[in-house]
Amino acid sequence: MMKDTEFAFAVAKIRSNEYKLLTSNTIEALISAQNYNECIKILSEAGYEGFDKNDEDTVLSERQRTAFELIYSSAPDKHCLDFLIVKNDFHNFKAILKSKVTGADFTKLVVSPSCILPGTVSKAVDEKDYSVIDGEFGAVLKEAYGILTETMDGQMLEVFLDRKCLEMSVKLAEESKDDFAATLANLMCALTNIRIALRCIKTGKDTSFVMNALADSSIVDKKQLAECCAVGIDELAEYVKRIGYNSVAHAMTLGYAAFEKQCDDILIEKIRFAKYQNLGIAPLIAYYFATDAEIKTVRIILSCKKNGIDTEIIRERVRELYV
Amino acid sequence: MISIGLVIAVVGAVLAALVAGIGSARAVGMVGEAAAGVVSEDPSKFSKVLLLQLLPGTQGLYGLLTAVLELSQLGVLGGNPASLTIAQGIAYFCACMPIMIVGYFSAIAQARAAVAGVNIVAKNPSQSSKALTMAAMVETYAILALLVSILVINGIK
Repeated sequence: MMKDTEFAFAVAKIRSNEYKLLTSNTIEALISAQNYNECIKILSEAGYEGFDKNDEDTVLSERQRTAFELIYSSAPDKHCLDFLIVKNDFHNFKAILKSKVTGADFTKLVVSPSCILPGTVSKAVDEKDYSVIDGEFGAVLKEAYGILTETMDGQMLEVFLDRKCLEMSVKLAEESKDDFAATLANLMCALTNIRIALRCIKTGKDTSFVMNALADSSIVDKKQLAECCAVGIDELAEYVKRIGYNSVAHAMTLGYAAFEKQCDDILIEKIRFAKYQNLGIAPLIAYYFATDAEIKTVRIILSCKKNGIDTEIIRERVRELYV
Repeated sequence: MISIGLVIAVVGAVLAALVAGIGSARAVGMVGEAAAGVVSEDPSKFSKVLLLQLLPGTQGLYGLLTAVLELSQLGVLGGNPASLTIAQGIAYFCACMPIMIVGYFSAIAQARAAVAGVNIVAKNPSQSSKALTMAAMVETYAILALLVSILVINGIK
């Protein structure tokens, strides 16, 4: 584990960029904006550059990529952030495996940064030599390839890789020996499990599917969660309340949008303590989540403005901000 | 002939300069890293963060001052070292301990306060004087330790 003092440069660099994050005043101005074009104008003034009308995706993705690049380039040890970028690896696994089966070009589908280069993954799949990839990743890729080629079921592949992604994220965070990283990874895993359970109830999935989709977690019990799914939302909400997430359980009964917002807000609440940390990895991780929440909020507002959604409904859906 | 007492006293002087110096070097380095992080994003903040970086460097100077004062009093600097009893040597050694120990730890503590100050400057440069004041408060204890060391050195017959 690295000493917190080794993060002095990185934290100061991140703090220098934090003022660029949107404030609650800007978010309020966006919500109150008359239309989509006014939102774009406000965002451009707040530092979002390169908006083309009706193409906010490119700008938002670029903003997210830049934020992560900043954290990644500043961190004294890149491996301590692996638990955050591992989702890019699993996205790349999906893209590459599916492209191998369909014969499509995967190069435009892969994302960076990632723990393993997409080229290495592609080569490993082509040559069926998974030993070139770091132990655990190689084994997962091999199993995923087996699932896809045997079943030709894209959903099964997605479910398997999403579960492994969560488990790998927790494992990497715990290996980093940083309490903050481990706590966040476990929380993310638990919240995602609850999300999966709720979706499974809504789509009427059976218990074996739910068990297959849920990741091992130290906070939620897979078996109990799957049993709740078999009964219904009220039972799930009751279980979530029992494990201490009252606000999530309450939001679940209000609707899916409220539930999603509550899950995101819990994470932001958790990272707030990093605002007062001057050393260590916490401010870097917090910046990542803060940017993520900001982009999600901007995306929601822009999407609502495009579709003429009422201001009050937008206000209900916007996420808590870190700054 | 150099007495054992003198050796003990000289070791004390050397450690005062050494330990306090190491503390300051580590501290200035730590604040320097944070300052570099800010300057890499906004070079115009250089002067503000430089002041914060300088603060924990003083403990090293206090260690040096104590060492020079003691070595001068012992005649080591003039090439005519005094002959000391073991008790006198230990007394000189003890005189160096406040700045040796407090110097080291206050430098590290001040560095942490200064890094926090650098982060304040990063987000809000207009508040740099407050950041400077907060980090400077730690200096009080290094100065008190220096004072005790000097008083004891001057008091030993």
